[in-house]
Amino acid sequence: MARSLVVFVAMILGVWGANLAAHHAEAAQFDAAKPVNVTGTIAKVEWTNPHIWFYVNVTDNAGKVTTWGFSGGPPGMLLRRGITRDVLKIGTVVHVQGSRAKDGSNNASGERVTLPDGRNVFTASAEDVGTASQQQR
Amino acid sequence: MVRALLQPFIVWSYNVAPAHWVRDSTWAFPILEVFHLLGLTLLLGSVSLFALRCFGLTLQKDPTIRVARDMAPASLAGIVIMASSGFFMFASGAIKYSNNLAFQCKMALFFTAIVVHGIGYMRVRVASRGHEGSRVQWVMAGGLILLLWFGVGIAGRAIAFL
Amino acid sequence: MAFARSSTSNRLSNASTGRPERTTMSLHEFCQWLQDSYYSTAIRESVWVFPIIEGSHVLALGLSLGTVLWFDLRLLGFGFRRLSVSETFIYVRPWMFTGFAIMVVTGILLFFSLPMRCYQSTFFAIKLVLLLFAGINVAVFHSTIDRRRAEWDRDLVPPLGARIAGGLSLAVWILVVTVGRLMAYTL
Repeated sequence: MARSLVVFVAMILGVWGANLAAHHAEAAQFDAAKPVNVTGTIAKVEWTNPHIWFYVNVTDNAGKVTTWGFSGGPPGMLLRRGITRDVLKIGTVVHVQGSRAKDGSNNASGERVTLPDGRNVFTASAEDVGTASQQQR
Repeated sequence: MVRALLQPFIVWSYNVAPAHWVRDSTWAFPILEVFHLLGLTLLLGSVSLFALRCFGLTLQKDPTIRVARDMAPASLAGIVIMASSGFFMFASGAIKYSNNLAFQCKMALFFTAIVVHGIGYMRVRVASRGHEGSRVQWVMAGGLILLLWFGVGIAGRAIAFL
Repeated sequence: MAFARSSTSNRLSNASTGRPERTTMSLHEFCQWLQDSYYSTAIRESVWVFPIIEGSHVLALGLSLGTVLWFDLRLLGFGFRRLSVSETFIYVRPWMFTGFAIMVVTGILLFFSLPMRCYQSTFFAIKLVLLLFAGINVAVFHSTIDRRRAEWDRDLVPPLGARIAGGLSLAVWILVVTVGRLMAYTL
């Protein structure tokens, strides 16, 4: 019992310490408080485990192109939702909503993807879903 | 219906201070996962050795009840570490996790495992030192405990893939 | 344009630049070749196979590290003190080896399915170094203090050398688990 108490305290200290130390880290985690809303053309799709990634080229008014990387669930999870790899085709213009990566890079969880025909598909995994769909204060 | 009953707890968990902490921090969740894994090692390791003894496959020199008593502290420590790290991880995303089928299965299996493990632990504690019991009883006990805890583990892994 | 994560390399082939063709591959090229291979891609893009391999890797921790733990604790003078060190080892050995066999096989398959990601991951490199160190620790233990095991086999608290071996082993394996999990958190 004493041993598990020690470990419990170590865990609390570890988490607290992490909180203090974390400001710039390459963490593939997403911040629900930083929503992302972009429209662009799909440039690349990696239909892989443990997370799919798709890259969208977004052109702003000045003509500058930014590439956004979106992370989704594993292929199996998406298949069970009826999303196969040809749903996200290279060259398709999509509107993507998601939560920005905690490290502030141009990466986000790809949550709702709106396709040209108006259909919405939800590509995020359980771990990555942002708050919009879950906040109940 | 169960969900409706649990809703206040789910909302409370999501809003608790440590839940905010974990959501805001970059490394808190990964570190909690590491502790969760170390707890898993303790729990599944001791449960495996106990089950193997029940099946007569290891530590044959010792009576089964002795092995059960030896493994108990490690199992308990494992459960405590996993439950506490697990709660903070759950709280950070209480709403999405409570909606996840794999997580629901995991919790159902977890509470069943706790009850079965608890009953077994109590019986081992009150039994006399030299008590052996029937081999069949031990095999069933070991098998059940093993299936339940590995079931929890499998359901836990399925959260990310379901 | 720069992708956030790119697994393809942009190199001019030696033939086009007039340099002599190399007959050996660099590690980067080898990992890329693996990544592009049929089976690696099949596992990486699979619906069930990858989750089962990864799940087995995690759950076999209980059987592998979960049993080694008891031997290391005995070396440190805790747990199973009524058994000699040799007896403890004989009891846990088959399950330890089974567990580790599963870890190694699933680990190799995981690397095989995601070679570029492992190549790019600092945590993976650290994990390999730690595994090597764990092996060295075992080798050193067996060739030194373990030679005289008969002397201290029944001691409740084994000599310092054995305790160091046990403690280091535990520490290293805990670090391996930590680093292994953190691998998932780098883009």
